[in-house]
Amino acid sequence: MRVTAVIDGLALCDGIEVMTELVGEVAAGDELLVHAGVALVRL
Amino acid sequence: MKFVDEFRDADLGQALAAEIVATVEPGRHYKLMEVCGGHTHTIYKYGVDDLLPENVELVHGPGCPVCVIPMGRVDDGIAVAHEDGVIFTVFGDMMRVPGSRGTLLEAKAEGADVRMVYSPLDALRIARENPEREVVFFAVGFETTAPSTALTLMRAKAEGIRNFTCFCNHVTIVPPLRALLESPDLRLDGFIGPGHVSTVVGARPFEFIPADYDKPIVISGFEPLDLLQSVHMILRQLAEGRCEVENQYKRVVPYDGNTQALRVLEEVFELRPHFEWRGLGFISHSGLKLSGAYADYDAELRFTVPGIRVADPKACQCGEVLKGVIRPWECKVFGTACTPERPIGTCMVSSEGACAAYYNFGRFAREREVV
Repeated sequence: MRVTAVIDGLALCDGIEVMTELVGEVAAGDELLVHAGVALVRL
Repeated sequence: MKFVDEFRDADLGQALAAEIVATVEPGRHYKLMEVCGGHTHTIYKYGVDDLLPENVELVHGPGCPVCVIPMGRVDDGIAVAHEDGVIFTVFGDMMRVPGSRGTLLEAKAEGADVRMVYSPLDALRIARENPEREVVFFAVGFETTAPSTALTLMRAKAEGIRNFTCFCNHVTIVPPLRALLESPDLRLDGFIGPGHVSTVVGARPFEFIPADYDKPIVISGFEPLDLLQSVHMILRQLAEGRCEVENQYKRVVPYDGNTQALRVLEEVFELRPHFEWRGLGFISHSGLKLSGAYADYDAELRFTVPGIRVADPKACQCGEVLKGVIRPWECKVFGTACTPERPIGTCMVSSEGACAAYYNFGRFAREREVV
């Protein structure tokens, strides 16, 4: 999923809030492998 | 789309299929287990098995998280959902899994406040918005999903949210694989290893498979070409007399996994002495519960949970399907009494369940003709 924004420490991807603690800091445009609301891998 | 289109190329698929045909030994039967329900879904959706020679058989393993939840745990969840003041939150698939007295969806119809969520973070948001209610999250899944639950509980604790608990049914992948390998019912030649679980745990935990059981395992991605290449890698190991862990899914899976995720899991969870799996029975050290540091968030400690063991319906053969002993269409009730609309067994509920995958992608009709 592509990060569209980062709000209050959560990434917004396709309108879904995603926790990013497991992949480090992210920015808009980053692509993440997301499962159950948590980013597991930065692609 | 990056990492998708290039792994669905039909010409490359045909070329890989030809390499597989060239690698197999004529007259030898190969039985490979795909551990993960996501792999099962891809195999049927894209007809991957149709590209394999007849002597290469794929059987389905216990890696569908919804499929392995026993009826008694569903009953426990329904009992909690009916408690006064509770908002019971659950993933969509889990709402349709039958317990002995119905499903969570039926409990909702009877008046329980059961709500579908996309992630545990959604459940925590509901808890924030309803401070006068008790919000319970029904946590299921392997090591892929457990970090999401763990991070959510860490947020709840950091924010001091007291009306949020977790009914934990998380499981781990290695113990059931070991149980399968110890089973006399099943002769396997190799494993297609679970890609998403491995993003968290890495490939290293699977080293026992070649070391202790002399079977190859290849961690695989989820696109059709990933699976074809993984099958080829397993067959090549067998042809060359090798037996090791290989990682086909290197674009996503580091060999040592996600160390931060492993740290989070260790902080929030601890292993149960044993946990019941549908069809596999009780397996030692295969389930997770909340650690002492998170006991205040444990729904099993805050609510009365019946904890009664319930036998599966006699007609249902999910257990044999999950162990790869029978194919979905060989179950007595497949496609008749048990359908995705009215499932009897868990394997017919989830999109990752082998029975639902067979049924939904039209394999049902074809296999019945073969019969």
